[in-house]
Amino acid sequence: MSGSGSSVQVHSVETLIAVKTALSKFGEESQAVVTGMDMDLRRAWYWLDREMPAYWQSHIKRLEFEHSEAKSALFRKRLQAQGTDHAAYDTAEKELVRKLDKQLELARAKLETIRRWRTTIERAADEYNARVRGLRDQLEGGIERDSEILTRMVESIQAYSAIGVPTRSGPTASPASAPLEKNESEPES
Amino acid sequence: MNHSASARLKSASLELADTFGRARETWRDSKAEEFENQSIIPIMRSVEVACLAIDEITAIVSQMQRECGPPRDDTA
Repeated sequence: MSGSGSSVQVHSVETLIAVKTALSKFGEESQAVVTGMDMDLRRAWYWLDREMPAYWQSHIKRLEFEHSEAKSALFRKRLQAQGTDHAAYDTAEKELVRKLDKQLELARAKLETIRRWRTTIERAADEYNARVRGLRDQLEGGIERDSEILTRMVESIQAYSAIGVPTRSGPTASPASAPLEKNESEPES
Repeated sequence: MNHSASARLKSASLELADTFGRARETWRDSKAEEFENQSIIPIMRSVEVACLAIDEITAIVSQMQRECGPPRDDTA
């Protein structure tokens, strides 16, 4: 093997190792993203399916209690004002009851909204999983297979380098290394 | 959950594409072409589809959180 051929072999190996390293880094980063998304989706589902129904049910109970108290206060105020011209004095109590009515209505509507969102999220998650399937397949074997291909190429070049390949046009030139040698030897203008 | 997941994935794929692009400047045989067609291109396609899926489900989950959660300035 000539001196320039040897440096070319080293360059070829370095090139392939760089691709292999980048592939491995991509695999690790992508796996972290996919795993993170899976965790986020599980958390989002738990939030929707467990946490929010519990939150709103508890909120409704509290509002119902406050509403009951406000109505009692309004009733007491009206009793006090009976037979007098102080009917307008119950304005604050009436306003509180009205406000709590509205809040209760909104809180009960939230439970219905959550019920509808369960179906939406289930469908969205199914669609998401179907669309990420390709990337998962890459992460669950594709990248490893690609990496092995590169490793074999590197080993092949190193093996030829060790025994000494006489020329790039020689009969034993490896498919993986020969073109690299050719390109290195004859750079395009 | 946020949009940085797809940005992170895109960035990782761009890095791989850049490295492979540089390698292809000197690696030009049929093996390189085969590797590009059978490995790199399918990865890039799967990333493209996954990024769209991530962005979409992220937006859906954000909307869900807005509609199902307590108001941000919960005065109730």
